[in-house]
Amino acid sequence: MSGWRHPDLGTEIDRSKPLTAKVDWTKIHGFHGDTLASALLASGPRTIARSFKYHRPRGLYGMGAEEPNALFDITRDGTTIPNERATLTPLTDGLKARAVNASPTAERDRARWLDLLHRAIPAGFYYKTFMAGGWHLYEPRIRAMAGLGRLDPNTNPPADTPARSATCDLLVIGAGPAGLAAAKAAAEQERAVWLIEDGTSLGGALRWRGGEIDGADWTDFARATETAILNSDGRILTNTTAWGAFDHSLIAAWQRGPDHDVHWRIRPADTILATGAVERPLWPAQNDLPGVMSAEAAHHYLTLYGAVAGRRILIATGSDASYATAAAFAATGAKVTLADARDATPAAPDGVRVLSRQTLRAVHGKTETWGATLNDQFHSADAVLVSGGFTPSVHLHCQSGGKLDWNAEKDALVPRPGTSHMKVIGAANGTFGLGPALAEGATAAGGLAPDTPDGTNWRWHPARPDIDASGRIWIDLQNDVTLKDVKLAAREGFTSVEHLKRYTTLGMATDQGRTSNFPGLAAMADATRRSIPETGTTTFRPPVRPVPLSVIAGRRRGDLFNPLKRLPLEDAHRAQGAVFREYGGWLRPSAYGKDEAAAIQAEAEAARDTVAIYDASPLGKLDIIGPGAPALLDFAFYNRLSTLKPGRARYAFLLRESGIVFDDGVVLRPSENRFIVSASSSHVDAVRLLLEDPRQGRFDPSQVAIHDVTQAWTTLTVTGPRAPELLAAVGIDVDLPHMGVAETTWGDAPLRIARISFTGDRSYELSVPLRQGPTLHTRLDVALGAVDGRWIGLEAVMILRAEKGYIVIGKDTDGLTMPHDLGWGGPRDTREDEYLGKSSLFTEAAMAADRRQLVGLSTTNVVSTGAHLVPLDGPRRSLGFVTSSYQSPNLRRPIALALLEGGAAMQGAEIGVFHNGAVQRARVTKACAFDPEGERL
Amino acid sequence: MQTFPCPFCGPRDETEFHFAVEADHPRPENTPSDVEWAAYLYTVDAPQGPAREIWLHIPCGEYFVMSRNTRTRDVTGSEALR
Amino acid sequence: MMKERDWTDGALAEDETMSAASLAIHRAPAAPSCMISGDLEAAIAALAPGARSIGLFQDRPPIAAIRIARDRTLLVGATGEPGWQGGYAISPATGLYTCFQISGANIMDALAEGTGADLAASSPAASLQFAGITCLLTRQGKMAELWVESAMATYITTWLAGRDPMKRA
Repeated sequence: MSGWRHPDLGTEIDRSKPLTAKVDWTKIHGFHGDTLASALLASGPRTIARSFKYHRPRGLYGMGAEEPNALFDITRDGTTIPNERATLTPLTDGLKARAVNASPTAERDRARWLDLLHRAIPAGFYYKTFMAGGWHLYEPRIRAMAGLGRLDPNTNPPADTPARSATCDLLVIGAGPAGLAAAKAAAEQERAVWLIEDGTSLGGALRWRGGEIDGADWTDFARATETAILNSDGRILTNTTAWGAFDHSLIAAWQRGPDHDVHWRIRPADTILATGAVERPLWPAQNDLPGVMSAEAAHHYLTLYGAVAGRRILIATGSDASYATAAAFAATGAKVTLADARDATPAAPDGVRVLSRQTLRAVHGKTETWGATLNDQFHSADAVLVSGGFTPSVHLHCQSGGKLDWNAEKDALVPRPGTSHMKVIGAANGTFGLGPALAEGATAAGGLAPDTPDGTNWRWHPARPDIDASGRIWIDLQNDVTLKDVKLAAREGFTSVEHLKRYTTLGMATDQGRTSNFPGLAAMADATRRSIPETGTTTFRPPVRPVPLSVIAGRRRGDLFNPLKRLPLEDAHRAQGAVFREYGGWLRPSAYGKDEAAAIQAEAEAARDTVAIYDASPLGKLDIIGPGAPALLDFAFYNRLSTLKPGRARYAFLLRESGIVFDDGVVLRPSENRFIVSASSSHVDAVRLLLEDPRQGRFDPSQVAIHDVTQAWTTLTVTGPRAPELLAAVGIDVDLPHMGVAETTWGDAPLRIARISFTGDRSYELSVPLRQGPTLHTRLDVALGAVDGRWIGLEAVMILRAEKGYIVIGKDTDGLTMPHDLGWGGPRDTREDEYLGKSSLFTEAAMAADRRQLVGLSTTNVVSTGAHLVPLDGPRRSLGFVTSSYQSPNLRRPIALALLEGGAAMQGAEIGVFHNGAVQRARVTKACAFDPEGERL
Repeated sequence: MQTFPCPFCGPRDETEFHFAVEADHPRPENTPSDVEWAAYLYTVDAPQGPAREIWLHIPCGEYFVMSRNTRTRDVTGSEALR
Repeated sequence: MMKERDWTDGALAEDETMSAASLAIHRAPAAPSCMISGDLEAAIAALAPGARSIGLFQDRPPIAAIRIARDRTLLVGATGEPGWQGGYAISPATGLYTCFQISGANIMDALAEGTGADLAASSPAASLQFAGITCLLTRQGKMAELWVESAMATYITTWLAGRDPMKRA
């Protein structure tokens, strides 16, 4: 219990608003403005987590996305999000946090005995050991012991994060000193600047380090930047993470709002990256003990939240940056020792004991730090703050293709200019210290360097893991990868950093190796006697830090996921008891009545006995207009359409160039220069675009137009022997031959009648403009009772068409079906002119006798759609499959359609239908099972 | 997400477009041999680097030729079919 | 799981409005309209003399030709007989598109949530993908107008209603 809350310090917290949260079994107190991490630090408990593999006690280490230890499953407002970093979790009242990978609590974790076995379970142990019988036998248990947070299966976060697009002249990512200077300089030149900051407010490290800019406190500079941005039509987003760099300069950013989040897609003309750097740790033995913290993070908690890491502070460093930290701690009254690795050190701050030429060799303690060994001497301390230099945060530069160069002077891999579309400035570019960062930022945006007394770049003594050191030394705290594991990887030949990563898991999981990649790389370089540039770096991929999937998915969920088209008469159908299903992107009545199965049979029967009406509005209505229309349609369709007489309709196929049937439908020709293509309801857009291709690329587009007016019409189809009677009752004259089309009027509205049948009974498609749809519906409905008819849904229509052997494309055909497989060989045999797919119909494969062809099946039971057809004798193999299968109420027997190898020549033969291990007999018939002469049409 | 230029509508998000086919592969006509026809249907160059492709701008229905670099993703030109 | 059977038709009716603090959506009654292709100048001269051709997010007078494509436009405020008229094609299209009028302080955010197109770039075609579907976008003064195909009215109502409960009137 060493952390404490300073009585005065804390720029972010509001002490008048106390908050309470529950962490594992313990209540902790904090204030409005705290993060979960700062509240935990101030509350004292040190063991707040258990490590990934060995279940070692772990404490708070960092202050942001680099935090490797303090992971919790967080429940707030009934929603649980796993693996949140306490450092990034704002403290809210009533928040519940559960330490990941520990049971029942982090302090009392039952699996802590695992650490005793550490010698037996090095990297690769699981891969090498659990082989007998297969990894899957062992995986569930091992996973239960290792790993991170748990998903709550009952959590159903709201789908309310909108994705919002934006553009700007300049996007500055990161509002530390460099970012502020760049944004200010650009905004003062009237450029629309967007400034994105991950933290709660502007300033970066200035917020805890403070500083003087242009002769005043830095906050004046920040306010001036804010004003300049807002005055030049710019925008400032705080609590916003730029998490991914994508093609053509697109930046994805996640803004966390007080009410709701926004997922930004920003496409700036220019981008400046000022994402700062992450402090490197040091690598003494037992460097994972609770109480060992990043010095910069400790400084941050002290100033912003008044959360003090300890009372006897040892700062181990080789860096100029740590002197201000030491001074800040000394001012709290804590006893502060600063151990510098260098010979020559800056002057000791007031109240700080500075020791030079010190190497931190070991940290001592069990679940708490009580001291450390510097060189060979023990020093008492309850907090060991470490600083091994800084690693630039270059994720977005690298995501957009940028390369890195090793810069020995900066002791860092820094962005190579010109390799990404971004300018990288400040600490992200290895430029440390207030003055140099401000100067680089302002210059990058074409401005002048602000004035500051702190004009020097921070220097540090390069610190590296000592591969000959003894004791257990952690390289990656989050994945429990030790120096020994890295050396083992080197011995076993996994010397590429990418292999090192996969073999040891170094650098994976939520922190993405922010504190571990560099030492892992350095240790591997040392172990293989290579330089750092020779050893290489791993690839940076989005996201920069974990982003909830609900943010990425946005609002496209439920009825917004794959929106269905809705019938204008939907309410009228519902009022009549219709139940709805999706058919080819439209929500349509499947049947009318609660007992769907019974209703379907009754509807299919009524349609043959008397008359039925169904809503066929989704049927495509592509107007093909102009003198060029016949030539376009002749080329696009398998069947010749230029020979169609005005006032008539023809059934036709549309093929792909591969010869495969793409769509079928009826083409009407109401007048000489106008055709209407009734594309399948699910294919209207695709057919339109397929026709646009030759229209634009092959013909003169000024002579033919394609208008999709499907949704401007309501189409109701009246079918059945008493259809003419019903139509007469509503005053519609139906003196039309089969496949005849008439455009007339009904009342004062246009009416198109097409005598086309998809049911095998006499049918009339009545199309009226949308506005007249309800009237037509009502009038037909009133007249329907007198002729004993009924409304029918799509399921009954499916039975009726299957009785006739009429196909549905994509159901009774597949990606190999050609028109002659369906019995439509005519145009192929007779057409001499060019049409889509023609040459594909004459290849060897297209001419083969054993192609799968459409047949009907006669069976004793209703067979399963999709069941394979097999020979009754000899070796079993698939001869094809059932495509449609129904109980026919009109034939009073099961009917089925199938694609069968050589089926056209097998009429009357017996074959097997294989389903769920059993074979039932079926007789091959013609596809048409009802009224084969077509007398009812 | 990339930004593509429709020769009529101007620059729009990639999601408004659909790749159609590689450009400059004319359709063989008048009973081509199976080899010629199969090459037309199935052989693509898929160059790494400069490429000429036919794309469709879905909202306006325009097919057009786009020149772009498949490696750098730079778009270098866009022209109407006629 | 898809529970499409439970969905009810919640589309804004013609001339109905829904509103929240900083956004209001009104579904305009269908005006007579037709789709024309080919010689657009001749067609406009014949059907609606003086009607202006407008592109993406451009100001729409009551009678206007909303450009869909290089050689296709939606003429709003006039219609004609279907067929070929010596140089251009007409299809009556009243009700094909339904117009959602969006007003209020949050217009630009609401639009930016549906499309990434640069609305200031004066694209000659008003057609775009909005919320994943093909639409037309124009405006009248400060009010945005989103034209969606009628079968998508329910979807776009749900989309525009967004997260905030909107009151209907």
